[in-house]
Amino acid sequence: MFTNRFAVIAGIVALLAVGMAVAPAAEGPDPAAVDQAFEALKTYDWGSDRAPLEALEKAVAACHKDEAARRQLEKRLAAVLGSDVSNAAKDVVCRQLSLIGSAASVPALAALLPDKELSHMARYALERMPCPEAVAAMRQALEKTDGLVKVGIIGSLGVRRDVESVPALVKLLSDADVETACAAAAALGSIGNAQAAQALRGFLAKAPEPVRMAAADACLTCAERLLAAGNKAQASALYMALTKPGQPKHVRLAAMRGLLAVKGQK
Amino acid sequence: MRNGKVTRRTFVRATGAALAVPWLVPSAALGNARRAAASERIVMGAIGVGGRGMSDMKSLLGNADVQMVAVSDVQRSRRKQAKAAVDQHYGTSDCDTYIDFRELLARQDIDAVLIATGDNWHTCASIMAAKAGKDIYCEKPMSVVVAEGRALCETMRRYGTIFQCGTQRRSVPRFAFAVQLARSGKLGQLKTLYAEKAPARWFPQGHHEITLPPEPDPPREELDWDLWLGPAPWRPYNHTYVTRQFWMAHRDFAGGALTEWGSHTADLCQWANDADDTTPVEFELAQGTVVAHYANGVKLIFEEGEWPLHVRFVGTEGSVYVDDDGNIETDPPSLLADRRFGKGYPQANHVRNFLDCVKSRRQPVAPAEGAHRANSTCQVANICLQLGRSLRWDPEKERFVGDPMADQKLARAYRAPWRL
Repeated sequence: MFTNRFAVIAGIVALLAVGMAVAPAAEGPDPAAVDQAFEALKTYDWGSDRAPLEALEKAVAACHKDEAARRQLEKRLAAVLGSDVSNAAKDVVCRQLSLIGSAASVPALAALLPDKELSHMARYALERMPCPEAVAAMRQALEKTDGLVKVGIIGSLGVRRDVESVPALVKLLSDADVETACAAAAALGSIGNAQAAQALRGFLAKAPEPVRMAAADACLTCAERLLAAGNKAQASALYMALTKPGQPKHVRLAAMRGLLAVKGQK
Repeated sequence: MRNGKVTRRTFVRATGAALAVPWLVPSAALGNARRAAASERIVMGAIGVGGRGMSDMKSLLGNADVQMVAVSDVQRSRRKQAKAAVDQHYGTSDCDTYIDFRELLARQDIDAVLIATGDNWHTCASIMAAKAGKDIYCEKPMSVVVAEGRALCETMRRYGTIFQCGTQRRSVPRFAFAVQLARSGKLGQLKTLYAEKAPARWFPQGHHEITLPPEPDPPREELDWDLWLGPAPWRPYNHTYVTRQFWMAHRDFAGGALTEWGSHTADLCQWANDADDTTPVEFELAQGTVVAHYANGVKLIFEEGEWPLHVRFVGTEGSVYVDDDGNIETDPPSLLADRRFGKGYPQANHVRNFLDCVKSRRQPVAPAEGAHRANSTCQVANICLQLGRSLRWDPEKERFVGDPMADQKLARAYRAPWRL
């Protein structure tokens, strides 16, 4: 059994070696299949056969080094978002735009941000898109949204560490909606610049009970970001604020570890 | 302290009081002759109590110093089954049940949690548990995308959380012995590692994004659909989503065949290669699978899997094969000598290691960083397969080299209100 097993292994290795030598680069699908996929999107809904849409995914994967093909594909995808197709079809499109979207598709995605049913998928694309226009669209949507839609947008701005959102996020710390206030604190912590730190430190002492832990956690994250950026003074100020007796024990211990890191004794 | 500057004196003054408090002060103190003394007891809650969760929970209950006080699951039948098991174990009827795990995490009397939800929830629930001050035993794989795993590691480090990933083969002597052969140099210079994917027949539709026809939402008491979805994109309910066979193959909820077994097999390979803090640097497509190359020249080959789960490590002077059926074979045979090992892949030792570490505050055998590096190796291989091209990877930055599109697959936007 042992000998046979290793013979099989040797065979597999040989096959893999051959395979690696001849493994083809990813090729795009037949243009006709892509056309059929766009056609299928017109009637696609939850539970529809997804097979015709596979050509879209292949086309997206294959165009990574072909700027013209990428822009062409992006244009067609963004146009679907503005058409009368199902949310399921728009879900599919947002997934593809998350990989090839540029400033050109931001307006179509931004239009979905206030929509309760599609806002998340719009963020799914915008959060991944490296262009500054994607972040600007989410920042601008803050004022036009509320509830969970707004909470989601705040979260995405935090993930993107959007410094320009800081003033708006600072105001949202005192929002009456707990989820909004918690999300704003977390986003400020993630952005982690001096202005965010100042706001979080001030907020920590007065945060209402349901937001207190989010505020403390945001301060810890913010302090780490500041320390990584070399701003030891503000990092230690945040950590010191978190060692106060009013904080939970695990937060105080985390702050102590942070202080040790500031001192280079990690 | 002035201007935010910390001196040794101010540091000691500020921190002394908290440091004087022992870390583990188990809270509930119900007397029971079969149980450990209250001061030694770890009060726990279980989040996600399906098949695997029940198995883990029963392992935990087998330890006299565990006091399970609550269970949480979005499915009523599972809550009921788990509560019955806990109550029967203690001969009581006071195990609390929650649909929403946030209520369980809010309890101050709970020291540690088991997280055995679907994969989609592992990272978010773990991070929330750490922020609530709980230690964590979390089932594998610990994340769906790379950015989640990194966020989990950072959070565990930030809070000093004891995090044990449920890669229990690290605590099975047979697998640990095979790893030790590789790490000790008894196989010579390590050359090739073989990690199995889960059997392809478990994934007849591949690793997909299929949607299902809408069905009426079940009552929240029966199944909280919104909470089941958690951070994943919304879609209308269909009962098939909730079945393990479906969700573990869906990209929104799991990593498919690669992470299902790779989180074990690649993990053992990483451990054998002393690579718990890094990953391969090149991922090469080859005959529908992936061959990954480490910076130290070692090769990791993802093989099509078949039961029993196994790994192989091959060096210049020897090799070792080990599987779940209790087989372990070495070349030369003298490496094995007269050693005898048991069968199976029980988690009892792994659970015990976790509990000991909760008390000692030492790192467990499967900590977050090691589990993340193993799982992210599988996730990068998945991206390689999805994009249909070989990729280079920077383990330091955890970014691809020269492939921005691949980078964009490393994270996913969370559905509100969830966040990392």
